Amino acid sequence: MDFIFDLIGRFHPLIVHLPIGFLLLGLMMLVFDRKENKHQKMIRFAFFWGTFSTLAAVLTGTVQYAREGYPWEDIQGHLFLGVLTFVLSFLMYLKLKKFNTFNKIPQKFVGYALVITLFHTGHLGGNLTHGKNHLIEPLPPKLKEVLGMEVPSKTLVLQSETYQKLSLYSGVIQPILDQKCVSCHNPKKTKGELLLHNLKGIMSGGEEGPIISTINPEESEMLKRIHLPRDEKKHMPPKAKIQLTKAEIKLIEKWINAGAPENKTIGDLRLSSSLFVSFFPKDKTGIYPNLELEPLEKTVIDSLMAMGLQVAPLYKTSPLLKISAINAPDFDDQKAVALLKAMDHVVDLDLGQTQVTDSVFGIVQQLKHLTVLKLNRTDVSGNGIQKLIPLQHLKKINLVNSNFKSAHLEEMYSFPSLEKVYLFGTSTNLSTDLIPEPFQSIFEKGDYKINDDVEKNL
Amino acid sequence: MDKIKKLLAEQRAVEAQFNSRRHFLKDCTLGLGGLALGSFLNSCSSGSPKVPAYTTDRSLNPMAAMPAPYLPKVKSVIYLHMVGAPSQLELFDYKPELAKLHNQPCPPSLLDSKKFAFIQGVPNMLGPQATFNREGETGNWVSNHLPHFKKVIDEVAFLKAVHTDQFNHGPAQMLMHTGSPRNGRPSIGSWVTYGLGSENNNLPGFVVLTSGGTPDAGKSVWGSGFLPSVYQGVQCRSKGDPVLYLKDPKGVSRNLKKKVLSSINNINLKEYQKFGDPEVLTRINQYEMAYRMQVSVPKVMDIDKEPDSIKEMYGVEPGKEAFANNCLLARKMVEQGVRFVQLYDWGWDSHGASPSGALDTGFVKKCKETDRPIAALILDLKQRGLLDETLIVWGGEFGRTPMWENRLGIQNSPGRDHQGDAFTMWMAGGGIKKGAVHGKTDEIGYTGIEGRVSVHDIQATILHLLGFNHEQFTYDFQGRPFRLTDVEGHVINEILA
Repeated sequence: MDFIFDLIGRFHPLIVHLPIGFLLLGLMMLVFDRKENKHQKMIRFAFFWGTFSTLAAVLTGTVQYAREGYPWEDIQGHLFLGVLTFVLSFLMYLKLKKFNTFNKIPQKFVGYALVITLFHTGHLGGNLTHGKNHLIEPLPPKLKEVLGMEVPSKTLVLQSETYQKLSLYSGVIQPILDQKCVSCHNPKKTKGELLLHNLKGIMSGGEEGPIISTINPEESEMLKRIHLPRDEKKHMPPKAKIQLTKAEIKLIEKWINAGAPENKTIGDLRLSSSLFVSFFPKDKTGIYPNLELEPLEKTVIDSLMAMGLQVAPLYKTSPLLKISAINAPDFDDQKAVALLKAMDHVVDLDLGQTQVTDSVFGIVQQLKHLTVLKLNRTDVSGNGIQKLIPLQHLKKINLVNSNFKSAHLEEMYSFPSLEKVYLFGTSTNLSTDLIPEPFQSIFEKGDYKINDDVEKNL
Repeated sequence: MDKIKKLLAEQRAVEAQFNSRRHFLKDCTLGLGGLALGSFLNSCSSGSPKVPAYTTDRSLNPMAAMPAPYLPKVKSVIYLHMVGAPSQLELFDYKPELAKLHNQPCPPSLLDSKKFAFIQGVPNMLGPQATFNREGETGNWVSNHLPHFKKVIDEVAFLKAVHTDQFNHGPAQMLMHTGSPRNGRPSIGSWVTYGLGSENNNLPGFVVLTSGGTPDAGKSVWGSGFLPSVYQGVQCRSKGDPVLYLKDPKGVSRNLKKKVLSSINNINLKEYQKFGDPEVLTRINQYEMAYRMQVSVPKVMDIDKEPDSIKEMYGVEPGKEAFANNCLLARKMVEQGVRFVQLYDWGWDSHGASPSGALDTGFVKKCKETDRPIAALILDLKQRGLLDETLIVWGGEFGRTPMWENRLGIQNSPGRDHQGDAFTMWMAGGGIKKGAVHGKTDEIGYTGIEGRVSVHDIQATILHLLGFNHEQFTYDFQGRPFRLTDVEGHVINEILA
């Protein structure tokens, strides 16, 4: 007949909802009726059943706890508060019945206390069934940070130039474990009697024995646990915690397969760079400046597009803009004034094959984050190009097939970030004795020839 | 008279369709809901809709340019496919050990459980039919068949151990371009134009140019598969009219055409006002684009106006269908904002069974035809500042065996059979690590022993450079999301800058 008890216990999750409903209703009616005192009978009714169902919930809950082996430390708060809820609701009922036993305690106080215990008990119960972070999990991480629920974990960042010299264990594996495992496997809190905060701990294993097998690496308990499905009880890290990424798992595998060495560097182990790519700092904007800007208003973008310009963010979520006049061959200096509406945002401007002339520099100089400027196949001769000196980010200028004159070359020597100027198809003279050494590699005239002799020699 | 009657009857039938109870129940419920919603939101303007000349609204203009999800390294791709599979052993993969085995019987261990297209029994080995040198500052290997290529070898990153699981041309080409050896998937150019649209309003986003013939797999290698058909490649002919039926018919002037189009568009606009179907707007947009293309396509396809120095650089043969012309065209298109230019050059299937397919005759000719234009293309893009925003991909659909093909048991002129296990491809341009070599084959170039990459890896890398995560770039079809790389593919970081 044991199953009867199991069955009664299983009713707990159902019954708990009754006191919440009844007591809440009673409390609401108390507030509603506070002035007129017309519905005392109904309110007593609500609290009678509220108290009764609370008792039922406490009893079924206790049975469930006893039969299903929940650990006491997890359950104690919930149980204690459940009993307290029962006591308080019973007290309230007695007060409503005008028993004078606890006259000293005001009814209002009991009411407030009941609200608190009721909600808190319910919340703890919810945590038991759904896991601790069930309620706050959907919150955006930023908000969680503000609320102090989650400390932003320091993510592992490797430098692509130097990472090969790092020891795989101390430079990569231990930092990963520190982030994702050590909060439960450290000398203070040692779940499963396993320590993961240093190599000694990792190598000595936990209550079920070693977690790493150097003889049969693939059978290592650590890897098995990591690879179990997330819903599996033995899966690590536990379901509700931050999980290891694919790249991190790959690296842990590689390390264990290599015999879990302490001092071997990534270079020694000849590991492919693709394993580490996801840890390199993200180069989100490439040659363009990495700016935090409010995106340009859509109406402004629309007004530029109405002129026939292509206006698009560098990539979907970027506030920086690429503007191109490829579909607006009649774009000219006057129309270029409109570009000032995007003066903070435009980083890549293509005015190639348009009607613009040298006076466009007066406008371009105000596009302060401009990085790439294309004026190919225009009548620009370069007169006034020195106006662009204030552009801190200007790296590339395309003047192919333009009217650019050699005389204006030196005006570009003082551009702060200039990397490349394309001058193919212009009349410029780039002979090395005219241009100082440091600038020779900036100016590219091209004019490559393909030599027929090579074929004749065959 | 009959024709007019027919047209009238058709018109009545169409109208009747819109007046039926079934049409109302089936098709109008959403519209009614939409109307109701529109009035709730107070956004229903009663003015006549104006079709903008250019819009980023994909429901009105399916080719509207869209930003990539991540920062793109390149904005255009020129894909040079050498149809028939060029021999890596005569071009880039230098195997001195193979020369020692020349004309000796192949060890049976190499033939165990291998499938070949033509090799039978025990073939002999075939030593490299070329001499190799280290060229450029990087000192990468290249054969004497590519004398011009050595000028640009430092711009290029080699993949020496590409592998495919297909060993016949058609399926292997399909796999290379659509991610699947079977029909029905969109080609990579279609995926890219679907994802990014076209920057130039007057030109197609995906252009295909062929020389020597159509690939064995047919036009489906530039098809749009299950993607809307506007994203399929537009094949431009290098001889005659670039696009068929683009020219005005005899006796129809461009003015008349404009009038016809504007009347059609007016009717379509009325249709749109009546039913609010965005498909109608799409149609209007497409008609207008076709009209603009009539002028812009012949203009960009005209290589005669290029300066002589450029024509000479590429070695073009105006008026002919030539790979050199296509390379020059590819540069012109990229310059005008075309997103994906696909070149197919046919004739690389060097089995040795005939002179045109022999490594000492036909193959040498193919090398000569393509070497100069490819070097010119890279240098020309470079001098125009376009190389770092363009990706050039070179390759075939598979590689060729280190064995001498013995079709029907006869050893003909030097030739090699198909081999999927290891072949060479290269990439150059924006985001590519110049002079990199990734992957290594065994001593005879038979299989990859280090840094093997698959066809899907190549596709993942191309998408990566265009600003896509190939795992997130999907299209829902038949109840599931589809990817170009199916369930595979890794970005080849080793050749990325």
